[in-house]
Amino acid sequence: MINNDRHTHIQVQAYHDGELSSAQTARVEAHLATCARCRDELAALRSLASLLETAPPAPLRLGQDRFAAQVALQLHRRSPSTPTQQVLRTGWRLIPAILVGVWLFFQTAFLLTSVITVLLALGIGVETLGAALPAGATGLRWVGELGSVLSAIVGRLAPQAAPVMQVISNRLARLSLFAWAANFILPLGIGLFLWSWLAGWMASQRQRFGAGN
Amino acid sequence: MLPDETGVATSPVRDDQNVQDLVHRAQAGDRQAFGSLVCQYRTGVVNVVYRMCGDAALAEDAAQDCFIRAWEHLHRFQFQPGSTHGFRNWLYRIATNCALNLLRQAKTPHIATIDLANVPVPDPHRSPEGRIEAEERAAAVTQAVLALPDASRVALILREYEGLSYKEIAQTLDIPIGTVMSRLNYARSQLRESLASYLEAEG
Repeated sequence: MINNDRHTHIQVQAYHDGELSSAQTARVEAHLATCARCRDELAALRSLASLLETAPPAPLRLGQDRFAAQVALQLHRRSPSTPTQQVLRTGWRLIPAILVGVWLFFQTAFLLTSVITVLLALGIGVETLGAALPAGATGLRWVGELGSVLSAIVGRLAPQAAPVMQVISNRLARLSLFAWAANFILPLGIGLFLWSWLAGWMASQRQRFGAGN
Repeated sequence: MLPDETGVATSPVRDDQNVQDLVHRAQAGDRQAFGSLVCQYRTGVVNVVYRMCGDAALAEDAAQDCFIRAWEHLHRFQFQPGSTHGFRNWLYRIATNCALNLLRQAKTPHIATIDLANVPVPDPHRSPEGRIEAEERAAAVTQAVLALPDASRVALILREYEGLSYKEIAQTLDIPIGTVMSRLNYARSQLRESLASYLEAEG
């Protein structure tokens, strides 16, 4: 049991703290009878404990009743959590994970459809995969129209930029609704939700720990 | 027996039937029952935070925050069979977290400035020279404890000043018992070095 310096210190410390079993205590006491070093260690621990007692406890400014009254005043603004509040609090904490999960789902689905599209373009698996895609998937027509309007405006203000704007609006119009959702709308929405959640969480943490202390 | 107004606990507050009744009633929303618990455990909680941060005023404010947090999370607490101080240890866990948050928010490092004039001396009837010596020793011990790393300091405080067992300290801090022993060993080694002159005087 007692076979190295650190282990000895730990055993003597445990003996000093009364943490040993009866059998262990008897073994340590038998060892102490023969080991001056461990006896010195034990004496040092006892001296230290005695010295530590000279550090007084906290000087209490408030009496017991006043302290309890101040706590009670603050309790009035809060109440113990109900099961519903616990569920809401848990749901609040899960929001980032849910948002990331939704984003991952759409990204995965978009990746799969992109792979299928490429395969079909290469003529691979047309009979089987072609039937899996919805027929006549179209882009958002209003985007194309908006793009045309913007191109016209830009064309009047900056004629050199008009062809570029037309190309961009054509490409955007040809994107499928799903591509729009996966690549623009969803990430934007998720990003806004996440940043809002983060701002709300930081505000609650600041309120809890008291900013400006 | 309840802690008296001088801050010295006359006997440890056990999780007897009275405390269990108060906790159950507080969990049901009884603020008066919770107030009784506040009165019973105030001294211990304030002392834990005080010895962690060294500032009595901050410690009392933090202790109030600790009880507020305990009230908010009271529904999570459950008495464990065979545990005699479960509620106290649970409160001390909140208190140590409050103290550690205080220390993280402090602009200066862990060591607080101890005003010798504000360090109360247990025996005011000594001679003036004896009182000054006792005050200096008390301040040196307080400063030496504050100079310990946070993890070792909290283990030492819970053991030396609050009388928690290794198992209770491990449950309070959510660490293995071996880690408790290591931290205590380290803390005591450090204190023996920093307080060597006072230990020699005593020895």
